[in-house]
Amino acid sequence: MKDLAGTVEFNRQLAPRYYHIRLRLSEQVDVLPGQFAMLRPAALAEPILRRALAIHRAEDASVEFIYLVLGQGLEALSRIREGERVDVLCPLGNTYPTESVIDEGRRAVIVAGGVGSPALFMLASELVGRGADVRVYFGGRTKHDLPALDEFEALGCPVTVTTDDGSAGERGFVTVPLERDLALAGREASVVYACGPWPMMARVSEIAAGHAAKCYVSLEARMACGFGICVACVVEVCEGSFAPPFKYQKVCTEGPVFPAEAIVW
Amino acid sequence: MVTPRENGRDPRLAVEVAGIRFHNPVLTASGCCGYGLEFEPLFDLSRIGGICTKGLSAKPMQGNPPARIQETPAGMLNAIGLQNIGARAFIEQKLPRLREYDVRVLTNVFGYTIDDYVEAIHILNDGDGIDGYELNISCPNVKEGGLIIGNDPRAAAEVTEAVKRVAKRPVIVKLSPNISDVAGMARAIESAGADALSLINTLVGVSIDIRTRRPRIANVTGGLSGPAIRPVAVRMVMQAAAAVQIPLIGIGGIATAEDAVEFLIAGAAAVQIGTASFYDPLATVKAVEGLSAYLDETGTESIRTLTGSLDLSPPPRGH
Repeated sequence: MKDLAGTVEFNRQLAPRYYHIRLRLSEQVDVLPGQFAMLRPAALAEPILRRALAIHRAEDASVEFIYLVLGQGLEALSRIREGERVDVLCPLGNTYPTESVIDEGRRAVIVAGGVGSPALFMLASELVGRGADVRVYFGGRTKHDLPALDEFEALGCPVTVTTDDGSAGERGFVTVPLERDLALAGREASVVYACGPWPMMARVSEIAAGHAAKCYVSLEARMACGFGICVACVVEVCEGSFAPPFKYQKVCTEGPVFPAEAIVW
Repeated sequence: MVTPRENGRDPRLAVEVAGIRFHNPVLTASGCCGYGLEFEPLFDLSRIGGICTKGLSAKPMQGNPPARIQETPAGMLNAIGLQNIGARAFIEQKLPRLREYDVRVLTNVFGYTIDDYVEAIHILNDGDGIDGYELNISCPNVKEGGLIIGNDPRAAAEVTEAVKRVAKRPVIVKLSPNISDVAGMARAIESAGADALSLINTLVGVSIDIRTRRPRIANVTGGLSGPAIRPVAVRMVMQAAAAVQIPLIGIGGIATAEDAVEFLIAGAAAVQIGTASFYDPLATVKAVEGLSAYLDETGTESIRTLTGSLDLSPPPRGH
């Protein structure tokens, strides 16, 4: 974890309310798939808090993020231009366990929902690069809610798209083709990695359990600091999944990646 | 002018509060620094004056269900619910490593009855390397039908007296801002034997989602912190300073050295930085550097001469 200065290389709109930003950092950092950063335009008076964003790509001293503007903080980020500065605390959080895929040869099934996809891109890219059997299920409300779909497709692994309104891919929820896939693959054949809206992840968790597939989810939570001091970003976990005493675990430092069965859905 | 240094420190910043010697007046505020060790990857903890830990209780606390925070104009509301590992676990798991740094350690302590405070203090008395205790008295008193201890001078004095009887270290009492008579409260706590006061804790607030018509945090009410509350805090420090002889530690929306100086002038001997550490994790070390720069720029001999130096003449014309 380092508090670095980032200089905007580009900050472009991908679709209505979706943006893609690339920052050159004052220092190189080693980023693991699933890690995140806390960002704020430098010298911004308000809102005061940084915003947590999953790291979409990282190489040398550059990091990229894809974000959906939902409130004031990311709205402010969307307005900054090439050459301007952003405060970047990173890398933060844990990573996805991949032993079952890399060492035991299980299939990796990646389930992305809307703007959850950037939290999975580095994972998909790394697993494909290591020759793993990877497939991606990518769901969005409309064809505009599939950020970085082209980048997933460029990895060369099978990508199945669904939209709620049928404007791209199969009409319906991403969990429908996921269930078909896991049923065909057989029990214990797959490891599922998911990031998306809470109801999607809850259903993915249930489907994965039904097919005895390990499942990891990357969570999002309201977060003030990103490194464990505010204790705001907690999620309720099942008894026995973490060492006592806490039933609430911090998404920033204990996560953002959790075994799906540890979460009280 | 070159800032004088001794062992990499500016001796002009040294202060003594409640008999505790701090090498500078900048401390972390409770609830905004974890147990201090969370900052280890970011800066050398010996660079700041002190760490005031997350509130500790005799037994671990689960805290409130999420959502626990909501950002508000120039601030935030929180209702974390005092989630903590407990006083014993703090001593065993955190304190040995904190002791490796040359930084004063204050443990913040809370309870819902006098016995809770006393029990936690008994445990912490065994902790080697703790320099003092800060009492959070902004909790509801379960024996008095949920009345907030810190809103009632009699209850606040009772807790202070009970803790002072058992505490092996100086006791600093942290004032709730949700009171009308600051001077009366400060005097009651001073008379009860407190070694210092710290102020202010958060202001109680509510934020409502107008689409769902539900509160934005699960606990409904939360504590407001951040720059939004700074003028309230400066006012209360000024009023408390006029009422008591014991030293004050200023808290409330401090983000920079300039903010800290405002509190010192109002009457504080030291300050705590809280919410600012969330959005600027280096805020405390930057404030220490900034205080040296302020002394240089203003030709001030030492930080101690600022305390209570407020000139109540009206602002000059044209300002």
